[in-house]
Amino acid sequence: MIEASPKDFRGGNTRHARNCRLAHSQESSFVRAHYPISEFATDLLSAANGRISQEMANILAAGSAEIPAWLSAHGALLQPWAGGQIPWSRKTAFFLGGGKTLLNALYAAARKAGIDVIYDSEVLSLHFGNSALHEVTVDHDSQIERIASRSIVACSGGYQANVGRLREYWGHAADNFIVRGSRYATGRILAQLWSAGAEPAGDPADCHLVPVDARSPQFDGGIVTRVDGLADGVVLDGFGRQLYSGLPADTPRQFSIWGRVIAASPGQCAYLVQNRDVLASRHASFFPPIDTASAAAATSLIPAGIRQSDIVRTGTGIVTPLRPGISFTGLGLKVDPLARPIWRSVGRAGIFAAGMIIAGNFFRGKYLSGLGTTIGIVLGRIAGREAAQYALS
Amino acid sequence: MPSADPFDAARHVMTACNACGYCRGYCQVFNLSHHYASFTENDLSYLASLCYDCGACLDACQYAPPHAFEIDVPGSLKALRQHTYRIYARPRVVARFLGQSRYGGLILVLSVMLLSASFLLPAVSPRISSSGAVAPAFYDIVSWQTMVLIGGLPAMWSFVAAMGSVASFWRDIAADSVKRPNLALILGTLRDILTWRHFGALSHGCTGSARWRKYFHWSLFYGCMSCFASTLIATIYHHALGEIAPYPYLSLPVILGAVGGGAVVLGTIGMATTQDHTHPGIKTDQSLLPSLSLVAATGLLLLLLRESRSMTLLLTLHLGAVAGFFLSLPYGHFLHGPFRGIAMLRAAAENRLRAVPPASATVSSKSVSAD
Ligand SMILES: Cc1cc2nc3c(=O)[nH]c(=O)nc-3n(C[C@H](O)[C@H](O)[C@H](O)COP(=O)(O)OP(=O)(O)OC[C@H]3O[C@@H](n4cnc5c(N)ncnc54)[C@H](O)[C@@H]3O)c2cc1C
Ligand code: SF4
Ligand code: SF4
Repeated sequence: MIEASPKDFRGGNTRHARNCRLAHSQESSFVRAHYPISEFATDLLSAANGRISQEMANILAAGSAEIPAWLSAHGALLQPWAGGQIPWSRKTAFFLGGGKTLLNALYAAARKAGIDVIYDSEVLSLHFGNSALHEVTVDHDSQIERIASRSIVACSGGYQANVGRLREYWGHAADNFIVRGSRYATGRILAQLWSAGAEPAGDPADCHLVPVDARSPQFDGGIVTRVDGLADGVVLDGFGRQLYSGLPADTPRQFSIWGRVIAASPGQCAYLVQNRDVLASRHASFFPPIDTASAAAATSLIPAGIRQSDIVRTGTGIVTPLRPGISFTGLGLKVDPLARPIWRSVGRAGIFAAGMIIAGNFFRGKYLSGLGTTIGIVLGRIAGREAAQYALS
Repeated sequence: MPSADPFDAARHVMTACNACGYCRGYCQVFNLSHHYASFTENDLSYLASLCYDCGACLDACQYAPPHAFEIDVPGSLKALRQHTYRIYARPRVVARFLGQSRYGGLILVLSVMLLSASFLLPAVSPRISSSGAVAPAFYDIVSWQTMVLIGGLPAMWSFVAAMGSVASFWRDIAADSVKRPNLALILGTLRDILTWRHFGALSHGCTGSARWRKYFHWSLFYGCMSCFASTLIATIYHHALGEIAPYPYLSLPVILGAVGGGAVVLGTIGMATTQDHTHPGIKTDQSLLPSLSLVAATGLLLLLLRESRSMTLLLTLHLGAVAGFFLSLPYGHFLHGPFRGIAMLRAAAENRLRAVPPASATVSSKSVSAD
């Protein structure tokens, strides 16, 4: 396994994930009630508005039912709901300790299985062999190496950390996006597979954008920088104009609505103004909101347009500066049920793909919570099995 | 990012954890902290006292160093615990003096041992030669009264000073939350304390070292209790039955003392070797384990060599170790025991309150985030 990141940041966005979506026929210690495979598949199809195939939806839904057993066989645990630490959830299960704990367990299982992981190694290019032996060029700690293999699984995620490519759809707005996860998801391998003739799946508009605190680091801010509760306040652009109003309750779906609203606002910067009272009833946020009563904070961090808005002038406001945070892009490769890319002209045997790089086969437009890791686990298992079989054949 | 002030640093990590919540279910710290919208200093001392430094949440944390957020929950809570030992120690001057080195307590123990040997030895040597026996009885060397003085006065000092710390910790941490402690609450907490129920309770499939630490800690604690019982029974023998030490090998005080001493030595070595992660930046009191093992080791040696010539030296050293140990006890890591006990009582009281619907006015668990 060739990983671009250093060991401490291994596993890409999965380090930041928390849950996965899984079908199950009866209540278990991780999920409530039941979520039939057919309902999962229907959810996928209706969320994608018919733009994905029934066959792929079925594969993902059916495979998801095996997740708990597979995880526990590899030492990764799901969080039981009995402790009362997670909300009532029928469709998603939570990783105990979050995505990084999941990864720690899976890397340990990989090591036990004799799988080597080379860190700090970016794959620069793929060379497709005619005689079924492919090669990759790897920049390993600034040393260029070539590694040959009969089969390759591309599981390098989306291209959300590649601002140049984001610009193709978002224009210069992309310059102001904050990347919530891995800085290594540059889409380099995806781009090479496209140019080698792999069919795309998805749409450049398909990406997960949520409001994050403008003080977040450019990469890897993860879950704690996401700003919730936009419906409890007023969202203004930098000139003090209200951006969007009249949203009902605070549902996860709205995170993505708001992400897009902010991405479309001038300078991709918005300000959530709330009444100070909200502080008492919710967890303190990672970045404390700016108290407009404190003049110093107000002048340096909040533009004049906001300071002069009525709600701030009355002096009861706290302000959180917002930017669009991109979790992942969904445009990727079209694959068949055995996780093999579909090629436009010449087919290339021995190439497989899994995870976010093939997300476009499973969701379009609307993202369903827990789908990201489920695609990774279910299709990762299929791709791994097929790649191994191909290599041994 | 981490602040130099231990309270600010702990507040920073606990705020991050509440915003994240991924470690909920790991231990009491996370299960309780997410009910708080914000944290006072007392809340933080309380949560810090509940952490066993098992390290599980550090392995789990996507924000652990080298991430720029540098979230290190066990490290920050450990630093805060060390800070509480300093600010709650009574009298403060002694704490400040001993706190100058992380080995302050141990240095005190060694000095008292030295003093004891150098003052008692010349004083008792004439008595040994006059008694003429190869193996004189303990009280031929140091009179019972002197022994009680050497052991008892420091023990009393220790008790009074520790009670002062415990009382002020209780006032700050628990007095408001544990208003009506009923018997069930107290017994339940006592059971949890005595069994280390929350120590490495996590079944997240990690290495078994947390469990081993639990067994070593048991060994240490019950070893101390056994030594204590040995002393108590010896006192009863002395006063009520008029039997004078040394007692036969198969007598209760000797058996309890030997088993206890052995268990303490095993426990200290085990505790010292199973800590699989360290916090290099944090100044922690390092005296308790070596001091305990000095007391136990000199005691065991004394038992083994009580018929030899080195007995006199060993007796004075052991007495010095006991006296020094008691003197240094209320300053440093020992306080974690009573402080954790108090925090556990508050945790039990909070949990009891929450078990009664409707839940008290705290933050609801709807604020769980996932994408
Ligand atoms: C903050 C956040 C929270 C999320 N929460 C959830 C959640 O709760 N539930 C959920 O289901 N999903 C969640 N997601 C989405 C989920 O994390 C992703 O869908 C999933 O991690 C994708 O996994 P992946 O392995 O396909 O891609 P990635 O996680 O993006 O991993 C790609 C890997 O490929 C490596 N790589 C890339 N290019 C190269 C190269 N050229 N050479 C070598 N290595 C390379 C990268 O270093 C990285 O390790 C979240 C995402 C974010 C950002
Ligand atoms: S993952 Fe890190 S920030 Fe999140 S709860 Fe655990 S220790 Fe806290
Ligand atoms: S180190 Fe262990 S006991 Fe301490 S907070 Fe983390 S998980 Fe809990």
